[in-house]
Amino acid sequence: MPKKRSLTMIISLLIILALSCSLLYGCKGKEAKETTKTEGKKTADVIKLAGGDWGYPTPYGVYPRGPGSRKMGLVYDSLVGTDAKGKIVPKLADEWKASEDGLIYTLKLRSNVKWHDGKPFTSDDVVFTYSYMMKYLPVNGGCPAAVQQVEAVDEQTIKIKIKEADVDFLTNLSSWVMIPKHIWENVTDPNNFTDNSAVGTGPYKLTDYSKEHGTYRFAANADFWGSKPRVNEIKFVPAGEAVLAFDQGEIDRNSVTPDIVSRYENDTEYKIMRYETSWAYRLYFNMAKRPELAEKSFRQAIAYAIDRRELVDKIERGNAVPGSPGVLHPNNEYYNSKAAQYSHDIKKAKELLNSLGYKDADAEGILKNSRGEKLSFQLLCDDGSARMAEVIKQHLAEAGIEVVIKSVDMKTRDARFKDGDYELCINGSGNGEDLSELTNISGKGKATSTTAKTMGYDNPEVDKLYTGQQKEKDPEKRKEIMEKLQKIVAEEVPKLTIYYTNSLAVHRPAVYDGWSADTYHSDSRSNFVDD
Amino acid sequence: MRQKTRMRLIEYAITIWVVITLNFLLPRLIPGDPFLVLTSQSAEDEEIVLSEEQREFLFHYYGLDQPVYKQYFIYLGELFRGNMGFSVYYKQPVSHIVMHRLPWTVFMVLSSVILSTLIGTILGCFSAWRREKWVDKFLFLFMIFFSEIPSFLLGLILLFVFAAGLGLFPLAGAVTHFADFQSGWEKAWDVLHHAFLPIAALTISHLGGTYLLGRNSMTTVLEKDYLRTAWAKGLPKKRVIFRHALKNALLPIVTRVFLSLGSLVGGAILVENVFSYPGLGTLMRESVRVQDYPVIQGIFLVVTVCVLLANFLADVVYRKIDPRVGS
Repeated sequence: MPKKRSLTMIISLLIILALSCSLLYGCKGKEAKETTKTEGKKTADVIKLAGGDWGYPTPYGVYPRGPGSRKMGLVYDSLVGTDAKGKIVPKLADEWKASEDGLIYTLKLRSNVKWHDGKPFTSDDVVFTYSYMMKYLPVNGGCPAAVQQVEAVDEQTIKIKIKEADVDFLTNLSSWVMIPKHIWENVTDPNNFTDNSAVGTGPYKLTDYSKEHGTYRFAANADFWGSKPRVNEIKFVPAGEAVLAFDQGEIDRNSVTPDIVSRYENDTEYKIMRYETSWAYRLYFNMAKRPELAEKSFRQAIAYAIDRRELVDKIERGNAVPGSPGVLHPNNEYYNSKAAQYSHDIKKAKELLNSLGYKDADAEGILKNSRGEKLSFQLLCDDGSARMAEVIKQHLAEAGIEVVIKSVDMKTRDARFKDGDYELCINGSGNGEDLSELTNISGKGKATSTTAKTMGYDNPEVDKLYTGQQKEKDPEKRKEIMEKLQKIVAEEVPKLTIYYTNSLAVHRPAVYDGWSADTYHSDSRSNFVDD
Repeated sequence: MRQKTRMRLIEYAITIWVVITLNFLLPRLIPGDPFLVLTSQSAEDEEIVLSEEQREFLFHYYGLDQPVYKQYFIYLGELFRGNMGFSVYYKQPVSHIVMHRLPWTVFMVLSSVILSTLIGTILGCFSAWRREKWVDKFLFLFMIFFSEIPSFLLGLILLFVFAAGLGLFPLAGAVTHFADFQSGWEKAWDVLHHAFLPIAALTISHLGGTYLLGRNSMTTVLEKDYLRTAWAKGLPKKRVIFRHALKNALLPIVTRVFLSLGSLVGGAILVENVFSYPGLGTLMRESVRVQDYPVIQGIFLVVTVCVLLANFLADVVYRKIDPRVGS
């Protein structure tokens, strides 16, 4: 007990300290407010961003977590890209055509593209990249698993054969980056190869990198095939406390939490950009472990009981979009607005639970089943979402369900989630695995494709619709299938999307104002160049 | 004598073996594995979810698919050959990574040891000289107060006040990046400028202990008989304290210097994280987060060996300056 008390003491001391420091610091911030309105700058000589070591920016050198891949994206190009709306746009290939059966794609390569070292980029490099990446698996930027064969027709034309027709193939292709044959052909241990190997065709050349200090420097590539980069030099420097570093001008843009964004509001020196993202917190029901949850109306009752709007207001101060039970974000092109919504309704939740035979006989507040056992669940979450778990606990208590929160570190949560070792679980992710993880389609390859299995959810109809929309070429018909799919998922709520986070970023328009309105990552290539 | 030395050596060898074994086992007891990436903390932190095949490939590539006892013997065998393994996350030999980071931590720790010992001893002697006077009382209270603040908290305060508030020092890092230095002096100055706050935090948090020890030791020595001669000769107090008594009062301080290296390294790890100083501390935090087994093993091993080495040195030095020990 005394140990716990001393811990509380330390924590409260820390809080007091932090508060007084922010107060002290806050005052200083206000003094600087007398700036006049400035025109935003569309080009810049140097831009500094928060660094940190995320690996050498090649497909083999980047680290699997974090922003390393976007740094790689400054140096390397894919054959095709996607724009903000998901439309396929030309990159290294400026023309493409699919065969009638959708199994062969013929791509015409852009002419006069040069690698950073001046050598020309040809179809040979594409074929080489394919066979090399098949032999040595890259961390990121690898070739889609669906590709069966890549061959060069002539110097500027390639033919890609795929295993089965997939309307999303070109989208998947957009993550595959090209590496130069003349640099890599004799490398047999790419994971350990860094010597000046970051040679790509992209808008920026890597001019400096330090693993130890976590710094990168990129210089604009004068021979870039696309438009001229708007920023001459991008520097990534370590920023211990990003907020302080931004305020001192050591970095030029910073992602901020809803808690501190008010510092920069109503101040002409700063500009705040808000982005809706598909990154979401979701609540998973383990039906294999708790048979009660396998009952559809039980899950619906939970959906009614959890006030997602309030969670958005309380946890994110309103900077989020309440989750839709149909999984897809409302701004998704396939979003079905007619799917069930379960707006907050405690009475309805109670009715549903009562009709399932859960009664509060002794008026204690917690429902019991016919055998007199309390309705109680363990909710697994990581420390980052513990606050959210507390609010959910309150909401479910109102409906008569007891929740015991088990808060662990992220890795433990991930491991237990993968093994299905939970009853209820909050998970945060933004990888577009939204609907596929509810299917039991085998051979999809992703680690999360086991999710449906460990959850004990199996609906052949969902599987069928999901594969159906993947093969559907007609966008109208595809939308139809997706809407149907969302309707079923929303009706059955195998998982409940709590909310989609918004991303907030602050910058000084007087330094540089060319930040992309579509991508919220400050180190994303679209901030510095139009392809 | 030789028997004793041999016993000591066996002791050290056993300690190192136990530590190596623990280092090997502990990281593997953390739930999850280096390639399990399912979720991220926020939209800013993008995750790459590996497919089952990719995971299998990587497990095989790094030999993690073998039974644990086999991995253990392979690890031991490689260590004997001087190979600390290859980092799963950083994709570099562990020895290479650790050797790039170690100098920063050693620089920080050694500077604070020297500074805190010098300042602590001088202040301690001063306190003993002015015992029970207001200077002593004030110093005593002041030192007790500061030695109770954990080093990382002190670091945070210094960071907020001197770096963020007054702007006297840089916020983070160990050098100015991408700078063209005119001379070696300029570069050295830049390194010192960056290291000042972290070293100050570590020094101040360590100062209290040395000060108290110095004060006590000096007080005890001052009461010894042999100092009567010095007093009787009518030597000034300052001379008695700093010339005659200090030599003997230094003994416990010297031992402390070496023994405290371990706790200082611990403190350095926390302070480094506050200032994102590129030493072993930031590396350790990061490697635990991503469960990079070889790197975790490497760091712990190097730190253990350093601390054991310090203990050994303490033994040797103590024997040199105190003839009563070891004969």
